[in-house]
Amino acid sequence: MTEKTHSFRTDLNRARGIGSAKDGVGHWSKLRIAAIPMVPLFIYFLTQIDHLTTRNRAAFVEWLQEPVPAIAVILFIVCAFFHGSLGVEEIIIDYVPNEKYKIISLIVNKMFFLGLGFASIYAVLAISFGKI
Amino acid sequence: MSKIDRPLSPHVEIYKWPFPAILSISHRATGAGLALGAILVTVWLFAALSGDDAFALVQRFRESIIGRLMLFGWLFAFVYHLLNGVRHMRWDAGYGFDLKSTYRSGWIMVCGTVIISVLTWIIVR
Ligand code: HEM
Repeated sequence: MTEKTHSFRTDLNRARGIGSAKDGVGHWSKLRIAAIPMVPLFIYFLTQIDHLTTRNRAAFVEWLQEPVPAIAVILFIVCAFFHGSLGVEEIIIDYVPNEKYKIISLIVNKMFFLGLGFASIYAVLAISFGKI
Repeated sequence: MSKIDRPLSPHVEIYKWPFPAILSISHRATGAGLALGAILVTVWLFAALSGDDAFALVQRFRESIIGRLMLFGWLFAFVYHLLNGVRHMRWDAGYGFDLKSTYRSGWIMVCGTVIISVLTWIIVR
């Protein structure tokens, strides 16, 4: 490549960001780092299944006002929604070849998970701190 | 935007579906399904926040036939995706890549999914 001979940019700099995700291995590792905590959290929720499936709102609220359940639910929401947004991003990148639609889908996806995630955390905090 | 008609290498329409390929696309399908189901998690938390009537409505829906089907589907998808995710990360760590281990871990994962989701469902109902 003749272009390269006259360039001051390093090879790494030229290669960065031209993959379909415009991002390197970061996406891959973030997806996994967000996935791992969900394994113990799922096991914890299995031990709490009676509280999670109760018909009695007062009992559910009381459970969610305890620190451990509240923190566990918030952690789960953070992990699931962050992991989910990265995962759906991967699917969009694979199936939406048109650049314009791809970018729009990626933005909609981010907003979807950010919105749902923050709303869910708000609901948990409001319940925990007794705003009911 | 100009459309480039590049040839595609033969893929899904040509080949039979080997067992690992079915497991692989199911990981993607369960991931997408779980993402949609996440909406219901938010709805459920807001119902608990907003009042007895809203919470009772959500619980009544959950106990309807459709609600039960959806919750079992979500549970099954979650367990499948969790166990297969662990299988993925075992590969990522460099283990179990040969064809024989891939088939074996696949069957272990499928059996584990059925057992764990059915057992959990018996508790949840
Ligand atoms: C214990 C829970 C979970 C674990 C261990 C886990 C693990 C994983 C792993 C390892 C991958 C990457 C697979 C690959 O490289 O092809 C993945 C992909 C994905 N996950 Fe999860 N996950 C979990 C829960 C969830 C949840 C709750 C959602 C939805 C909100 C979700 C949505 C996705 C999506 C959409 C993908 C992308 C699928 C693809 O690219 O084909 N996952 N998951």
